[in-house]
Order: sequence, then C-alpha cells, then structure tokens
Amino acid sequence: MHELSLIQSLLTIIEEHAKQHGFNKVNQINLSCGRLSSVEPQALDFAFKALTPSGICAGARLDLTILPMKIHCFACNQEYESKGTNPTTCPHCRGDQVMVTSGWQELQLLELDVD
Amino acid sequence: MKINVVKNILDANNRIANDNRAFFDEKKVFVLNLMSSPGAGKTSLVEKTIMALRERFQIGVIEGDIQDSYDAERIAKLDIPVVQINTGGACHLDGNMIKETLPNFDFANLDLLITENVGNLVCPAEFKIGENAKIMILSTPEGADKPAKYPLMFAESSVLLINKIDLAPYVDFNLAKARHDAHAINPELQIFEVSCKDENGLDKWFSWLAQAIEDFQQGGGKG
Ligand SMILES: Nc1nc2c(ncn2[C@@H]2O[C@H](COP(=O)(O)OP(=O)(O)OP(=O)(O)O)[C@@H](O)[C@H]2O)c(=O)[nH]1
Ligand SMILES: [Mg+2]
Ligand SMILES: [Zn+2]
Repeated sequence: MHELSLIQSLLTIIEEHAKQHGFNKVNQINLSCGRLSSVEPQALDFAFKALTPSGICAGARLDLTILPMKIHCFACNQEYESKGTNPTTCPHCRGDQVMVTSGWQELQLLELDVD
Repeated sequence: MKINVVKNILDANNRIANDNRAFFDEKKVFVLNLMSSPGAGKTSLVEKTIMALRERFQIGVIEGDIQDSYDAERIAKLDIPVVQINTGGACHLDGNMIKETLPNFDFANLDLLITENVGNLVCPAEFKIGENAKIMILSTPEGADKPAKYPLMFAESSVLLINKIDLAPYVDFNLAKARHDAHAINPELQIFEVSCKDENGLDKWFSWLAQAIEDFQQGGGKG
C-alpha cells in the first residue's frame, strides 16, 4: 500500500529533473532496492500506472533491480544469498548461527531513459 | 538519452523526519515509534506504560489509524494529551503527518511522546518520523515465523516486545525460533517477553524506557 507514497515521491523527483534537463518524455525508469525493503514489485507497477494516466511518465517502463539478501554464517564463515525460504539456516553447513549483512537498501532511482 | 540520477526515493520524507528530530532534540522530548500488526497490543502497551511512568515523566500520545478514533479515546480517558491522525487509507505514518500535529502539544511540559503507528507489520518500517527509537510488538498468536518473513521492521527496531506471552502455550509459539531469527536479522535488538494482560515482564520494559529517556535528556539531546 505504501507503494503509492513511493511513486508520488518518485514522480516529484523526475519532475525536478525534467525541469533541470529539459526533457518531456520518459521511456524507462531504473530503480533498485534491497530484498528486505518492503517494496512489492507488482504493487509498485500498479501504483505507477494508476498515478501516470498522462504526463511525461505515462507509458514509461519501470525496471526494478532487487539486490539480494546476504547472510554471514558464523559456523563455516561463508556468505550466502537468500531468496527468503529459510534464511536463517546456512545452505553450506546447515548451521543456524547466522547474521543478515545486506539487503535492506532503500528504494533508489538510478537512471532515466528520456527524450 | 540516459540520465544518471541515483537518489533515494525516501529522501523527502527523511528530510522532514530529520527536521522533526531536530525540533524534538531542542525541546528535549523523547519520541517512540510504536509498530506492530493490527491487534498485537500497541494501545494496551501505551496504556500500561502511561500508568507506570506518568509520575516520573510527562507523556503525550499520537494515535495513527487509517480511520476512526477509538484508540485516541482510550488514551484521552487517562487524561493524557493525545492527537489522532487519520491517514485516510495510507498504511503508515510519515514525517509530514507528525509535523502537522506538533502545534497541538505543549512541548515545555512533555518528556515522552509515544506514537502508535498504523497496525501493519510491513510499511511503517520504511518511513522515519523523527523518532529516537522504533519499538515493535510481535504477539504470540501471530506465530514465530514473522521475523524471517517480515524482516525489515525487526531490522529497524531497537526493542522487540513479544506480547501475549500468556497465550503462548495455547498457540504453540516457538519462542526460541522467534528470538533466534530476530537476532540473526538484528543482533542489537533488545527483546522483552511481556503480557499486557497479566502485566508479566512489563517492568523490564519500563526500566529500559525510563533509562533511555534519562540518558537522552542528560546527554544533550542526541537522537
Ligand atoms: N491475552 C492477551 N490479550 C491481550 C494482551 N495484550 C493485548 N491483548 C488484547 O488484544 C486485543 C488488541 O489489543 P490492542 O491493544 O487494541 O491492539 P493494537 O495493536 O493497539 O490494535 P490496533 O490499534 O487495532 O492495531 C485487545 O482485545 C486486548 O485486550 C495480552 O498480553 N494478552
Ligand atoms: Mg491500537
Ligand atoms: Zn555455514
């Protein structure tokens, strides 16, 4: 549900850049966020379409890269990436003394493709 | 044409939250952002905390709900200043909503401002409001898999209260798993097992909070 707020902020940022760089059509928007940030890709797409029936972003493609959740295992000292099924068990040694080290990067706007 | 931007989408909210934080620092008001799923026991905890600490600290409350004001009425009954925010559909409080309530409080006579966020285990964790500490509640009927399934709030919080401990035996709550997974996500997380019904374990939470407020007020307002 908070995807609407996120898209509103995104559109404000894009409008500022449109004034600065003088473009009036956005083709593609590249975003990234960590897998632990609570951004739901489908909800983000839906919110984006709902809020851009017209204007410079209408019809633009959203491209969201989800950065993996990385976990360190204290038993075998290896890092692993988790898709979230059983993140607190190490796939290498089955150990459970682990710590999440990466994955909660905030939603970021990286690049715009514009005309 | 490609334009390199690299900008946090939440920067605008973070800026407002930082302004709020600076304001609270100047007024020496300690601010809690209390979060949980619907019905985990946020308002119950606020009520108990008020009763326990009202002699030592002057307390105010902000109640965030999508609509209605039942929770604010529960707090007003205790004769505590309370402001209701209706988010009108939004699933979280944000910095700007908090900012708009500020004129309603007498900050010269306030030590602790408790903000009860909208009942939701996901979205509120993304939005800073200018708090000193995020506090979250997990209640035993929700299940011990919640830290692994919804890690962000556990990562962002300073304190986890595992509430409704009185119900744990009836709902097969795996306390060891909940603790283990929560600490894997956030090794610094303080965990208290409590029951707002029979008041077990709450004294540890009250001590933590009283100490945190005193450290903050003596330490020149570092957030
Ligand atoms: N058995 C038991 N019930 C509790 C406990 N704490 C709260 N409750 C009950 O749980 C229900 C919900 O409590 P609230 O304090 O209103 O929960 P909340 O998180 O504020 O709910 P929302 O604001 O609607 O999200 C109430 O019926 C409380 O009496 C507890 O420790 N044990
Ligand atoms: Mg409530
Ligand atoms: Zn291992």
